[in-house]
Amino acid sequence: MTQSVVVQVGQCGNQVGCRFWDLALREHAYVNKKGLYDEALSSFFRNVDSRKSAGGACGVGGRIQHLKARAVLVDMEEGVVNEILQGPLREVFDSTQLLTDVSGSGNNWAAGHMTYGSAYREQILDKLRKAAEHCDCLQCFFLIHSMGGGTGSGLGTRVLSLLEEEFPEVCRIVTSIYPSAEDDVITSPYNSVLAMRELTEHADCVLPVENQSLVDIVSKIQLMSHSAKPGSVIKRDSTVISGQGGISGPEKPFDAMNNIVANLLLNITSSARFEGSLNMDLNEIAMNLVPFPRLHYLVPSLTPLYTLADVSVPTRRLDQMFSDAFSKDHQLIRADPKHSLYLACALMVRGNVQVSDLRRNIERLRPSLPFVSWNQEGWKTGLCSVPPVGHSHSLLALANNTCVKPTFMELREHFTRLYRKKAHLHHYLHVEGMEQSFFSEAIASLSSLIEEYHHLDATKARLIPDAPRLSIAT
Amino acid sequence: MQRTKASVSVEVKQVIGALCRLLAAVGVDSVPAPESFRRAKFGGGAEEDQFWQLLSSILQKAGVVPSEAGSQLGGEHRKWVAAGLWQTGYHADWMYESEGGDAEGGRSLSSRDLLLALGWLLASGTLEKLLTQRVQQLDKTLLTSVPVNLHLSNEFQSDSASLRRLQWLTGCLRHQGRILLSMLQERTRLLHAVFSANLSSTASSSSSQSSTVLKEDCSCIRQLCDLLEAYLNWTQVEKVFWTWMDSVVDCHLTGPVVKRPTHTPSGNLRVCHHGTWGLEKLEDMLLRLPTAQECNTHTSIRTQVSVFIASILYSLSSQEGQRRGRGDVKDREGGEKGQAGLDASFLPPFISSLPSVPALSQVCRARLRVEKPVRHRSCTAEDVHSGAEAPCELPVSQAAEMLLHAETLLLERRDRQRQANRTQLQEMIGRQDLLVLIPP
Amino acid sequence: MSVVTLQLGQCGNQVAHQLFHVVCSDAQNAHKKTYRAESCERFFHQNTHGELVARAVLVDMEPKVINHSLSEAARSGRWRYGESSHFSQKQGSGNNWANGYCVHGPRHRDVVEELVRREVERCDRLAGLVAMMSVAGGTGSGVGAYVTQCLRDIYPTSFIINHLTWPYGTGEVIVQNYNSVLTLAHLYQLSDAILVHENDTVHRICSQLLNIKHISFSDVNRVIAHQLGSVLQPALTTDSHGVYSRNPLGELVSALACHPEYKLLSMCTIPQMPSSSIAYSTFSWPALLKHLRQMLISNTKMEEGIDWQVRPPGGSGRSMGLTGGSFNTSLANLLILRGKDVYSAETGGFEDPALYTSWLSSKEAFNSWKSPVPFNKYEKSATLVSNSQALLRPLDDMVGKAWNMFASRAYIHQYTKYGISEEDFLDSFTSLEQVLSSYRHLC
Repeated sequence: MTQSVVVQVGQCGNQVGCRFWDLALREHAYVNKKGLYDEALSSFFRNVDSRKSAGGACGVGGRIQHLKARAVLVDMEEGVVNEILQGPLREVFDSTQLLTDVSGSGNNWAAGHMTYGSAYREQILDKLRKAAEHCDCLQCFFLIHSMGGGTGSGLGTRVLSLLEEEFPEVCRIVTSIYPSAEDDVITSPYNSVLAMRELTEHADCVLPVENQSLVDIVSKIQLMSHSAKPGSVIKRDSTVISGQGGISGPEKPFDAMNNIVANLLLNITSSARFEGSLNMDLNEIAMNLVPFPRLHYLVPSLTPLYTLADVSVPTRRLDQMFSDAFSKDHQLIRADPKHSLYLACALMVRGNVQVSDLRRNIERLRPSLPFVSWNQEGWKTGLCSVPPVGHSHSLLALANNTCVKPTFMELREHFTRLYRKKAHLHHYLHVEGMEQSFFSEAIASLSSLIEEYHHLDATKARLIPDAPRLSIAT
Repeated sequence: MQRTKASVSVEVKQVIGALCRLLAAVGVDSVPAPESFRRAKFGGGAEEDQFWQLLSSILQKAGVVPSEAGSQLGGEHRKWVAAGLWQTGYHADWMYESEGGDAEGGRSLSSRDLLLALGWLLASGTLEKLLTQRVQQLDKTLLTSVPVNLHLSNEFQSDSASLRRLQWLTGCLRHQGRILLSMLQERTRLLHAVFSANLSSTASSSSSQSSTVLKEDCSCIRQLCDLLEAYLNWTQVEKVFWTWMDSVVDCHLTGPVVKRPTHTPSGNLRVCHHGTWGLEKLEDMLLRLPTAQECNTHTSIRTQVSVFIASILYSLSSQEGQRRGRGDVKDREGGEKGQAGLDASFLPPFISSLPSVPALSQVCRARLRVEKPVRHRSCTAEDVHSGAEAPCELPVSQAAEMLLHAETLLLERRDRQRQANRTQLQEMIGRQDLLVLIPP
Repeated sequence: MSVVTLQLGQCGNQVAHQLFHVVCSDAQNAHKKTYRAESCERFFHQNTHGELVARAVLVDMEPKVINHSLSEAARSGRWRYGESSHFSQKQGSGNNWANGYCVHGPRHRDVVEELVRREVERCDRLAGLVAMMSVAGGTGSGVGAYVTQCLRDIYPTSFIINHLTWPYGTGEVIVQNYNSVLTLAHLYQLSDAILVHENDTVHRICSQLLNIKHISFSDVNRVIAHQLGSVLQPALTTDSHGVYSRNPLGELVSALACHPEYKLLSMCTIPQMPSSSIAYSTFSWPALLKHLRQMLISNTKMEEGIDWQVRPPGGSGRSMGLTGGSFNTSLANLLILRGKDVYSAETGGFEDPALYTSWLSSKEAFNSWKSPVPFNKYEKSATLVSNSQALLRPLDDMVGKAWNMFASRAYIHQYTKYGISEEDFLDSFTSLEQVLSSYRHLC
């Protein structure tokens, strides 16, 4: 069984991370009735018996003593982390896993990346190494951060390049929260574009999430739950935004949105943790969904958003789940994948679904989804038998689709609007180690990325003939 | 020097000893002692009989000569042996002796000739044949293969279907072989188990019936082992033997003791082996010249050279005629002063177009120089004319030199032609479309 | 006469597990003692407690499936896997053939070789090795190809047969076509024969013949195991002289795969029906064989939807074009009949020279094995293993899709980072095109 380490950087990153750990505990409590420390738990948690000497790490199979998260928490402000440590999750974290500072990055990518990055380099590496040592087979690093701020964006990407240096063989999956258009941080375009370059170069996969989409989904669910239509009563705790049943108390603002992202992470790792008839490991995700090294932006979508209280589960609902996964309401960025070109797509199904249902739905949906010419059957499927809490089955779709192009183009537009006027540039250039070339290189990198997606898009409508085969002399 | 010579001779003796042991193990009777071999190199007469016996035994065992040939000495018996040797492809001078018997005109067959004949037999694979026969006799466990009913048609078509069929059959046989191998392995393991079980229970049960069979088996296997061991030893030292054989051949070629027949077998135009050997080599070279249709120069060269050869052959036959009529030579030569010894008129003018080819037109029968000083002196006039030696005779060395020279020239020509062909082909390929395009 | 099975990757382990299950229950239900003894000897050995232990080596790069197999087998009570006959790691190959072949294979070579050696030594006599794997993933295909290469070096004279499961055409893994091409190209040189099952075909058998509504992978595996079992269980062959053949793999290979360019073998079994219906059905050899023959000719893998219009080409003038392309030319066929009244079965229909290619006579191309013992509850059953053009189309599709992807160089960086270069890809493509060409021109 493999282990994964979660690295949460910045305010947003830590808030999301906090929700993740809460929901993870809830899920394992639901599944693991016997209180044994099994393989599934060990993928995210260490079992520590404080009575034992030498740190007291326990192997798999014993009773649960004390669960410690395999995580590293980094923030340049103390607020969020302190809140966590005072909340019910304090037992889950060890002081050695935390790294904080006081003053914050001031929404400045350069401050986070250069200043704090160099200052805390050794400490960060140390904590990462320790976390890795506790794993006997480390498969993946999950990085959670936001793109618009200073710490998450700057220091987060610095941590990413450190991970690449120090653990080149371990997969790096980054969950990035992209700013929405009406973001109150003025310099968020700068931060985002500078961070994008790092992501393109150092990450294995990026799961972009847009705040706006999360807001939309939350409002949709709340609309549903308040509509009180007959037959549409939502089962308690079954929404993707619900955090009930976890350790934490009543929900805070943003919790609903963060729960969605937390569920995303749980679903991605479900097949690696629990058994199923068609397992899908994390390194298989990177292998199957990334045809070209730079095009590794995978658009996630989660269904179902809620389960109705009505117990009978007709197959139609199963099919509905599959159809929803491709609709633009369920994507976690504002994009419509159905009208853009698919390079590859992965479907991870949880619950009591058979391979025949899966295949039937793929057959049904395939004609309406435009795939790139050389990957007409570009589907990667995984079946995990354990459903998430509150649902009988669920589906996570990860699509490598050119629909990210508009998002990036918008980002570029916002960036150029500011950069043209050289607004706020001096904040960045004052930071030691930062130069103007970073900006130009970053925007160039983003432009070429957009170009690459554009090239692929251009092939969409055209009928590409098959490449001529090798001919053998008879 | 003395020491090395001695050690060499010891080694040679050991090597020949290995051969003798192998021959004996294979079942050949009357194998002479190694010392006889060495004496035979120098052409002693005493060893002749031994070697006649040996050759006869080998040929009988190999089935070339019927066993009715018997082992008695005598002219009849020798004829059998000679016929057997002829069958295997050995054509030596002494085998051309006329019916009238041997030792005519002072020609006596030496043991060295027989030694050379033995060398020929060994080189042509007779030994391996005898070895295989003997192994098959001894090893009863060798499965007598039931011949697979292969319907191999007499005329072998080399089209792809037959090729595939052949490949299929080969594969089938290979698989069968592996199955047999594994069965054999299992059997060996079981036999081992049986034997070890038997050994543990002491040989109190003296069932004589089973033991005789076992004893026979044992002796067969022992013989087989000896045979295979002898063969192995022989293969290890074979090279030395052939080096020694070379020295025998050298002896043979340079030895003054050897007399040559004064006349060729009656009637037929027959060319000397040595001479034809040179010609055959020439012909070989020419055949290897590329036969491109477009190449005019080629055809012309070919025609030229083939005519050239034809002329050589003709001239050789005319040589024969001339030699036969030795008595007329003087008259002929006297009569036609303008001619060289060779009928130059038969050499068409194209010879001049082969400027590089030397006066090989002065083709002669290359044979050992015999002392015929009389003839030479009579042709002095023509000698001066032709600007060369006796037109009909050249010493071997000079003839060999001329042949070699011509060979090198022709080889050069051939290479030049090949180069031209190659460049032509490359141009053609360049002009053609590429067969395989890998898109970027 | 013992067969050592090598189970590689998730699919290989799952299918082989089912195979042992089928074989064990068939053997134990058989009435004939010799059959039972031979079958048990072939697939199992007895440990000190008298239990049947499978002659198998289990290899996977991640532990879940192996653990599941071990516990399932032990729970069945009839047979089990050896305590130490398995090897697994913590982390899989990530669907990456290069990772399996260049990294995991060499790293764990010694351990796997040792496990196989132990198993082989336990056999009194080795009939051969059967390696079972899928071609779509990373471990089964990559590690499987590497291990087959090692075994070929160690046991040059033994028979090595690979059983491959080809994935669904619509995809389980996106890079499955790359993995398949690389695997097949490498195995073609090393293996003596390659037995193929396609998931698509078996899925159709499950849905149409067995009437299973929600088909799971274990249903698919069960069908594959049934077909494979009917080939590998003891039978009387022409060379075995009245006893059960002691060279099953050798005879299989020498009957079907003697030519180095033609090694792909497909199989179909008749009848196949839900187990509940077996008791109510009667079978007759003529009907079974007639259907089977037409299944061969028209390249259908099940007894429903057979196209009876397809006929073998008549008389002289055989060429590819005449039959309109839907006729399936065979190179060689092996018919295995099991059950009641086997000796009365008339197999003349399979000896028709029109079925075969012109350069082999039907005597050489057709072989038949018989066993009077019914197999796996079917009173009469017939299996046809054939070396024919049946796999031409699927292979062509697979190579075509892989080539298209290769033309855009998609995913190549994932392979090059472990050591498989574009040259290796090109070599594999070339050798498979050669295979396709050979089969296409079979007439």
